[in-house]
Amino acid sequence: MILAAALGVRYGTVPISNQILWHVITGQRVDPALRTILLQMRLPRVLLAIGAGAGLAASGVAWQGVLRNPLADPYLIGVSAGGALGAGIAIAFDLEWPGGVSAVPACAFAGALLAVGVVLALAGTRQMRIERLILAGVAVGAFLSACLAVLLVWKSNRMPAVYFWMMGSLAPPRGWPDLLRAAPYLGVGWGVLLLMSGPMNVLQLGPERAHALGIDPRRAQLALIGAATLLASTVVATCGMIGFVGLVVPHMARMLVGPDLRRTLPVATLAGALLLILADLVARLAGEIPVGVVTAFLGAPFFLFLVLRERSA
Amino acid sequence: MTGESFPADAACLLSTRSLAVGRAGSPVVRDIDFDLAPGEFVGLIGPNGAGKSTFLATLAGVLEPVRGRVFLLDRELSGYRPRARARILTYLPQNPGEDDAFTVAQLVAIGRSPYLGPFSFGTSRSDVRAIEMALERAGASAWVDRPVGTLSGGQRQRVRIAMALAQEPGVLLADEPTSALDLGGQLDLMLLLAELARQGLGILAVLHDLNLAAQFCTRLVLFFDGRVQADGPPAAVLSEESVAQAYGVAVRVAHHPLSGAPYLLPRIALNRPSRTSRIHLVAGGGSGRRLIPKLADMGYDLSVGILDAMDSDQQLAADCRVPTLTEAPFAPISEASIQRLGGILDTVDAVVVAPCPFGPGNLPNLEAVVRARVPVYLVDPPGIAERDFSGGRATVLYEELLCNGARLLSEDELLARFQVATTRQLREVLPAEGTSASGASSRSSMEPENRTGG
Repeated sequence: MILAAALGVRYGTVPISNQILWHVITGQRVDPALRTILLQMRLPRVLLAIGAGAGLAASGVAWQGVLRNPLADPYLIGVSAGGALGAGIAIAFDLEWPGGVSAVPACAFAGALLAVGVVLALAGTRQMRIERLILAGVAVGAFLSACLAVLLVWKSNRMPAVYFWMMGSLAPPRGWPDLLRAAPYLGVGWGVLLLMSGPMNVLQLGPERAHALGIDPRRAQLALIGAATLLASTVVATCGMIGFVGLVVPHMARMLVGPDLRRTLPVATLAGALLLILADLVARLAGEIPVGVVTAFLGAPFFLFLVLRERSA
Repeated sequence: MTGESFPADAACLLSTRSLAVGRAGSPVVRDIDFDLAPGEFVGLIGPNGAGKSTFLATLAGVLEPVRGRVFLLDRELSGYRPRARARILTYLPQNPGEDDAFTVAQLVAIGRSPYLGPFSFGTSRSDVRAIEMALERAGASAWVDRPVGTLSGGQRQRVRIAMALAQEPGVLLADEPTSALDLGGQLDLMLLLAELARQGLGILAVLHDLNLAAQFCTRLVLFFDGRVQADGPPAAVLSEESVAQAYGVAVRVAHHPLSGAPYLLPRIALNRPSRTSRIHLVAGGGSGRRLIPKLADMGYDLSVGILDAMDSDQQLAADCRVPTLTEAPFAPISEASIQRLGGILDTVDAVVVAPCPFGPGNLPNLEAVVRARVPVYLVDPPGIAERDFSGGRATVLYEELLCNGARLLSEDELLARFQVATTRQLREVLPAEGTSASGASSRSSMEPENRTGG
């Protein structure tokens, strides 16, 4: 992990040697330009990769646990469609806060939360039915995607920008302010998941058996969905839509440590962070291609390898 | 053992008062006053849709009562915090969810959830002891390291029981715990539940196999038509009337020959084809156990006799709605009965003689058959020599019948022939109307009389 982070900090358009890295860490004098690149660009980018990877993977663990569906990922019930529409609106109309700060993250965040809220309201939170939740998520997602399509047809000159955002990236102009804004949400979301990992583990057996074990399944589901949505929405708002991590990393963690989600959660968190640091490194070295593309490129073959190995075992 | 988390001397673990249960606020079953005491193994029975699972889910707290109250150890169920409730009462739903990937040890450890804090994995000494004991009591210790998905259905159910026992509960509610199991698995699980009840656990299980329930449960509760129709020991709850009313099935309540528990025999009313042929069957001592129901099901106008009123064939014929000629138990066959039998034999198309033992008590049957000029089918093996207890007279009568053209067939051959035969074909066995046949017939009808007379 630390090694990966060091690699992530060192390489880029301007390589930085180990010696300079050490000098910066120990506070010795180095070339101010390199120092700026290191502290203002590389470091926040790597930290963001850690936060986003960890957040998506943890969120994926929670979704798969709550929805009891191996295809569940953080984007299944509206986070992606809502976030994309929010960001699309902000990009298409050049929305800015007073002072010139882009309103894209805030709009994406609001869109994602709104979409999940609508889905939960449609599925009904009193007697939560997992199938209804998934179906409502798919329906709302389709509707919001249609809205986005209409928007893009009207504002077709903005299509490339929106599309690029949708593929997800950790590249600048994201920096310390974005990281600091996202950190509390990520921290709270992850903390809740960790605290609820016991009930989350039991919920895999279905709400009735969870109930028999002294867990209020409705409350636990709502808390987990809330935390998972917070994590995913925050990542989407900050980095756009980075696919694959939330779907596949939980499965990888499961294969490594078994079905007990109390162990899967921390392992998936670490693996997600690691995967995204490396994916971002590759994305950067390959000339700033979207990191979401890289995660799929790297992750899919590795995942297939794990699946095949498991089957032959 | 089970009483550690609550007073072991509790007279009543779980009770309901004027309870109405249902889903979405509309009651399915009303006025339930139910009590469960330690050591009871109560079977909840009733037809599909009677509300058994709904009742169980309400007792587990999964569903809210529509009306009335549920008490767990004299405190209202809704007043418990979920974790506190889960230390006293556990519930095994019909759908066990996805537990295939867990190992037995992991799954049973999850049963400690009501005792664990947020970051605990159930590894304290008391947890480990409870888990080991639960595995032991459920007989699941041998598989601790195996994934649940690799076990048989019966083993999985045992593991789920072990997980429930790890909660150290006083009450176990189980929804159709045996429904997916094979015969061995069912018996195995019922034995386990009965043993757990004997150790002091109060068990309420929804069961569909009434014979299994009658065999193992200390008490049965019958749900039907939105009410508790019966509540009591199996022998009191399972009557022909209650089963006919609740399930619409006619049964005979017999007793299990090996255990004495009530045992239901459904009277299977097939759509009988209608045949016009009349057949009389001479049977007794169980020799008609296949012939009576099979011939009746083929649609023959069948009569049986003369039978001892206590004969098992008499009981069977009554169950098959087949008329019989009977004589008082152990009494010799009266002249009046012989007259009636002769009258019947004059009207039948064929007589079948089952491979029953013949002795002085039932020999008149055979004599009457010899006297009557009707087609006769003798079922053999076993041969008459092995079942002749009349000092050789029955054997002589058999020889005469054979001389007269009677047909000797095995039971299977006979049933196969009668399955397809027309009246005319049945009658073909009758000896041709020649002198030799009638001579043999008249001689045979005299000889036995001479012998009985002498």
